[in-house]
Amino acid sequence: MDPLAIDWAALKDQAESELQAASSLQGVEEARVRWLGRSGRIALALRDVGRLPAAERPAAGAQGNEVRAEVEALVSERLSRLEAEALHARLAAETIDITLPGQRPQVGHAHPLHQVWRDLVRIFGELGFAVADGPEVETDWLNFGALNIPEGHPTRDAQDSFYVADGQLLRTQTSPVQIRAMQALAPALPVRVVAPGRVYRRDTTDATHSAVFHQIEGLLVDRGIAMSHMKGVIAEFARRLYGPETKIRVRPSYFPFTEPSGEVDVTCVFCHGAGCRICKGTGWIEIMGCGMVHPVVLKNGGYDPEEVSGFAWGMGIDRVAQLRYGIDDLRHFLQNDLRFLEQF
Amino acid sequence: MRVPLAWLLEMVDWPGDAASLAEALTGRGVAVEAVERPGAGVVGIVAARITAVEPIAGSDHLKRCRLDAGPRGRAEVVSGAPNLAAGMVVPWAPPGASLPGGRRLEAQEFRGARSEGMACSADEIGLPGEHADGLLALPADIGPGDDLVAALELDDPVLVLELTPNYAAHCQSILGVAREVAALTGGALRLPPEPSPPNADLDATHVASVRISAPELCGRFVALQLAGVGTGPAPLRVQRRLAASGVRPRNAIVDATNYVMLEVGQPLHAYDLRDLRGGVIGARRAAAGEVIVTLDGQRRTLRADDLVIADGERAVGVAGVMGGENTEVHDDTREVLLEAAYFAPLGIARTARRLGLSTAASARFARGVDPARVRWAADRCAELIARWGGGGVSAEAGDAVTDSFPAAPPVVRLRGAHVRSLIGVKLTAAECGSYLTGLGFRVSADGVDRLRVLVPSWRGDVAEEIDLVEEVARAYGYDRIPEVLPGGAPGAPYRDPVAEAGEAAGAIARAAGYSEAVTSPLHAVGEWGRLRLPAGHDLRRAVQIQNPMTEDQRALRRMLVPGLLDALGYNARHRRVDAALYEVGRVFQPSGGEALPDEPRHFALAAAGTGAGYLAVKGVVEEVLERLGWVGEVGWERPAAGELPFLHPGRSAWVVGAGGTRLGWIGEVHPETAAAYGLVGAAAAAEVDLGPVAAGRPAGVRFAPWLRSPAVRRDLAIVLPEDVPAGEVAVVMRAAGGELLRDVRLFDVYMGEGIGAGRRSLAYTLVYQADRTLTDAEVDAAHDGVRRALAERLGAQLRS
Repeated sequence: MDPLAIDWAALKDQAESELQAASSLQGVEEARVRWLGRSGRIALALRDVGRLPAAERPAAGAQGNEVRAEVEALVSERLSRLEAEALHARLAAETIDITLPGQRPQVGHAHPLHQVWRDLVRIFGELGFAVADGPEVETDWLNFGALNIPEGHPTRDAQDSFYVADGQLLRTQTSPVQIRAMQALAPALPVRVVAPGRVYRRDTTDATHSAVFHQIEGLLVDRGIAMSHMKGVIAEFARRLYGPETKIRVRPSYFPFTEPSGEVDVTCVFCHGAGCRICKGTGWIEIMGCGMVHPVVLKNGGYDPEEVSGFAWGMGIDRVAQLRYGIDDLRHFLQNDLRFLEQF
Repeated sequence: MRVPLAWLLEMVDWPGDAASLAEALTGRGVAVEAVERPGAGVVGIVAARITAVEPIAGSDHLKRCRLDAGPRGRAEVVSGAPNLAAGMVVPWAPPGASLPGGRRLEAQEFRGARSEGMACSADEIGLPGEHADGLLALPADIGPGDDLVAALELDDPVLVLELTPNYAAHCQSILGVAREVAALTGGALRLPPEPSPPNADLDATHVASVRISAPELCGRFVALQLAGVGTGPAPLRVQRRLAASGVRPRNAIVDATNYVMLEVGQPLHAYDLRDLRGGVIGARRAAAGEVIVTLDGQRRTLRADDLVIADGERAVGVAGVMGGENTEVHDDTREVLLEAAYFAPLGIARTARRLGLSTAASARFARGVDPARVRWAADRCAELIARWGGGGVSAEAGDAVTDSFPAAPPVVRLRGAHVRSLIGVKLTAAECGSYLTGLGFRVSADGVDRLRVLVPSWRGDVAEEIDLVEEVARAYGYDRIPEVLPGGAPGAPYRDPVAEAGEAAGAIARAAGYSEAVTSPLHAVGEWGRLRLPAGHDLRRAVQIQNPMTEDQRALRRMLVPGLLDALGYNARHRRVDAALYEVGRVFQPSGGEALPDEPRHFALAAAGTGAGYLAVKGVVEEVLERLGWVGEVGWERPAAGELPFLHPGRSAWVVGAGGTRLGWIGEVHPETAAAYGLVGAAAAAEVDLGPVAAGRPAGVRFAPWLRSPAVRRDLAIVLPEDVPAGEVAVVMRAAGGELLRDVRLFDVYMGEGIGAGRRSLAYTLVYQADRTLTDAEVDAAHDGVRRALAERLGAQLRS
C-alpha cells in the first residue's frame, strides 16, 4: 500500500467504536470534537489528501467526505439515543403515586332546588312554553277570586295564608300567574307559559311541611285544546324528565280553577312500576295536579270560553327535587348547610 | 270516609275483590287511599252455648266450660273469664280456627283439663269491647253453630277514602259510594228500605215545638220525639260496622244516629228530652261570647256568626258540629228528641274551622247534605232506635223549612260538541247521556246533539255544563283519553334580562367558590337589631306579615345578605367556619300606597373565615359586573355614616354605575353584626340589584381585537399620603398616559419603615402599546408625562 494512502475505513471503524463506547452526552461530545472538530482526526486526514498524487486526490477526497458524513450521522444517532435514554430515565424517576388525592379547586355548588328548577324550565322550553312571572305578594283577587276559589274555600282562610294588607297576601300557589299571563296576552293566541316560583302557606315547618316552598305552573290556551292534549303534553314532559319508558296515569281530582281536573301519577322512578318503598308498593308516584282551565278563569283572563279552551298544571319543585335526590326532609332546602349543598 | 265493604255490598254488587274496587273507584275520582283489613286472619269462629261451668281442681279462677255448638258438635274449653254462666251463647274458636292477626288455636291442657280452642271476648274476635268484661254474650238471634265470621263480618275489609271537596258531598255515605259503584258496573242499586212515618201522636208532656230564628243559616229542622225507648244495644254487626267506620259504638240511640249518618250522609243528633227546657227547640245565632260545653267536655266560646241549637233557655249544641253536654243522651235515657237538619254549608265550615273542631257531622254539613234525605233520615233513625233499643213510639214534634233550603235541583243543558272538544274523544250526545244516567242524572234529548239534564238532589256540586263535562269524562275514564301533542303556533317569545343576569352572576360566584343558597324571605324583626339598623332607618321599612305563626315570620326581607349571614352562622355552629354562599332572589319593598310591593331581584354574596375580606368580595363583584357589560364603568363610593350600619365603616362601599346609579354595596361585615350572627372571624358581603345592572349594561360585551405590535412595560413606584385613593392615582395615570397607555396594574402596596408615617408606596406596571411598534422615545415621552402628572397633580414622590 502506498505509504501516503489514507485508510478511511479504519478511521471510520475507530470513530464508530469510540462513539459506541461513549455512554454519556458529554462523552459523545468529546468524541465528536476528537473526530469532527476543526483539528479532529478526519479534518487532519482530509488535509493529508493534498499530499497525494494529483490523480488520487479526487477519489480520496470524496471518500473522506463520505466518511465524515457517516461519522456525523453516527454522532447524531448516538446523541439522540442517549437523549432518549436520559428522558426515559427521568420519566421513570418522576413516577408518582397516582392514587394520591387530586388538588381540588374551590368551586361552589348550585342549590338542588334551582338545578331542578332550571331542568323543568328547560324541558317545558323544549315543549314550547316560555317562562312567565308574577309577584310573590299577590292580590287576594288574583290568588283566589279570579281563580274561581269561592269564599269559604279552606285555602282562603287566614289560617292557611299570610296576609300583608287588606286584600294582599303572600301567594299560596303559582296559579295567579295564569291570570297575569292571560291578561298580558289576551286576545292573542296561543298562551303557552310556565311559571316557576316561590309560594307560601301558613304551615308549621317540619320534615314534610314548609311555610315557604316552590311550584311550577303551566298553562296552554288556544283554540280546540282538549284533555287529550293535556295528557299528551304531560306524558311528553314526564318522559323527558324521568326517561323514555315513563308512563303517566291521570286520575280525576278537584281544583277550583280547573274542570275537569286530575292528579297525575308517573310510573315509579325507582322501581319502574314494580312497587317499592318510595311508591308504597303501588308502582306509581303522584307528581302534579292538572285540569282544563275553568270557564270562569278563562273569562277572568280575558278570553271567551266558548271560543278557546286550555289546560293548566302545577307541581311542587321541592317534591321533584326530593324524589330525584332522595331528600327525606324538606327543611334541608332552606337550611343551607354546606354539608347538604356540597352534595349537589 | 271509611267504607266497610260488606255494608257497601249490601247496596250494590261488585264482581271483583276489594283491591279491584279500590282501583276502579280511584280511577273515577273517588280516591281510595288504602284498603284496611282489621280482621285479617280470622277464620272459623262459631257460636256455642255454655251448657255447664265446672271448677278445676287447684285453680281459683280457671273453669271448665262444656260447650254445645249445635251442628258443630260439643266440646270443652277452659276459661278464666269473670262472666261465665251456663246458658250464655259465646264465640268459640275451635282447634284449627284462628283469631284476627292470624293466631291459630289448638287443643291444650290447663291443670289437667283439656281445652279445645277457646271461648272469646269481643276484642279477641275483633269486635269493639273490652277484654276485661269477659266473654262476649251473643244476642238471641245468634244460635249455637252459627258462623260468626260471616254473621258479624269479622274479616270484612274497609276502604279508606280520601275525598276531594266536590265528591265529598255525595260520597260521604255508603249510599253515595254505592251509587258510584253502580255507575261503574251498570248494576242495580239496592236502596235502604223506606222508613215508616212516626207511629204515634205527641205525648202531652215534654212537647217541643220547632223554631228557626236564623233562616239564612238553617234551611230545615226536623224534630221527632221518641218515648219509651228500650235499653237494648245495637246489633253486634251494626257495632262492628260502626267501629270499622271509625265510630265508637255507644248505645242504641247514639249508634242509630251514627249508622244513618254513615248510611245516607245525613247527620242526626239525639237529645235527652228530660234536659230540654222551655218546650222549644230550634236554631238561632249564638250571642257573641256565648259559651257552651260540647260533648267532648270542652268549653267553646261562640260568635254571632255561629249557629247554635237552642231550647227555650240555652244553647244545647253547636249546630252541625257537636251537641252540648247539657242534653247528652245517657244509657238510662228513655225519651229522646231527634234532630235532622239542613244547615248552610259555608256557615258550618266557618264555625268548624274556627273552633278547630272537624267532626263527622260538620264534614258532611259543610259540603251540603242531600236535601231529599233530611226527613227520610229522621224517620229511618227513629225506626232503628225503636227496633234496636226495643219498644218506643215516635211522633213528629216539628218540621220547619226556610228559604235557604235548596229548591228543586237544577236542569243543565249539555252540548255533545262541547264535550267532544274539551275531552278530545268522539262521544255522541247519546253516549254522554248514558254515562250521566248511570250516575243518577235524568237525561232527555234537547235538539240535535244536545241534552237536557236534571241533576239529582244529592249532587249539589253540579250546576253548570262544565260540571257535566267532568262527569262524562270521569265516567268515560281518564285512562281511555288518548295522549296527543297539540299543534298550533309556538308561544310568545320570552326574554328576562334580569333572570339572565342572575344566572350569569351565579355562574361566576360558583366558579369563585361560592355555593348557591336559598333562604326564606320571611324574617323576625330582631333581624334589624342584628343589622344595627337604628329606628327609622330606611331598611326597616319592610312589608309586614299580619298573621305570622312564629316570630321569625314577621317581615319580608329587604336584602338577601342577612339570610346568607344567618346561614353562615348556622354553618359556623356546625364547625364549618370557612364558608361562602350566594343567592339570587327577590326582596320586597313596600310601595307606600295600595299598590303591591316592588319585588326587585337581587344578587348577594357572603363569605366568612379565611380569606373573607373587602377585596375578595369586590373581586367577585367586579368580575360579575364586567361579565354583564359594565367594563370600566363602575365606581366605588364610601357610604355616609349610618347608611350601611351593618358594614365596617372603613371597609365598605356603594357600587355606583354609569350616571351615578347605585347598583348595590360591598363591604366587610361590622364586627357587632358578625358576632350577632354567630360569626367569630372575618366576614364580608355584597349585594347588588340585578334590575339596574341588567337594564343599564352600558355596552354589553364586544370583542376587542388585540394588537400585534409589541407591548412595552415600565414599572413605577410612588409614595403618597395614604388617604389618596388608588382609584384616583389610576385616573391620573390614565389621563396622562393617553392612548398609548393600555393598562395600569398595581402590584404592590407598602406602608412602614422608610416611607414615613401617614404615607404609602404604590408600585405599578404600566403597559404601553399602539397599532405600530413604539420607539423608545415615544414610550419615554408618554411615561414621563405620567410621572409628571403624578408629581404635579397628586404631589407624589417618585421612587423609581
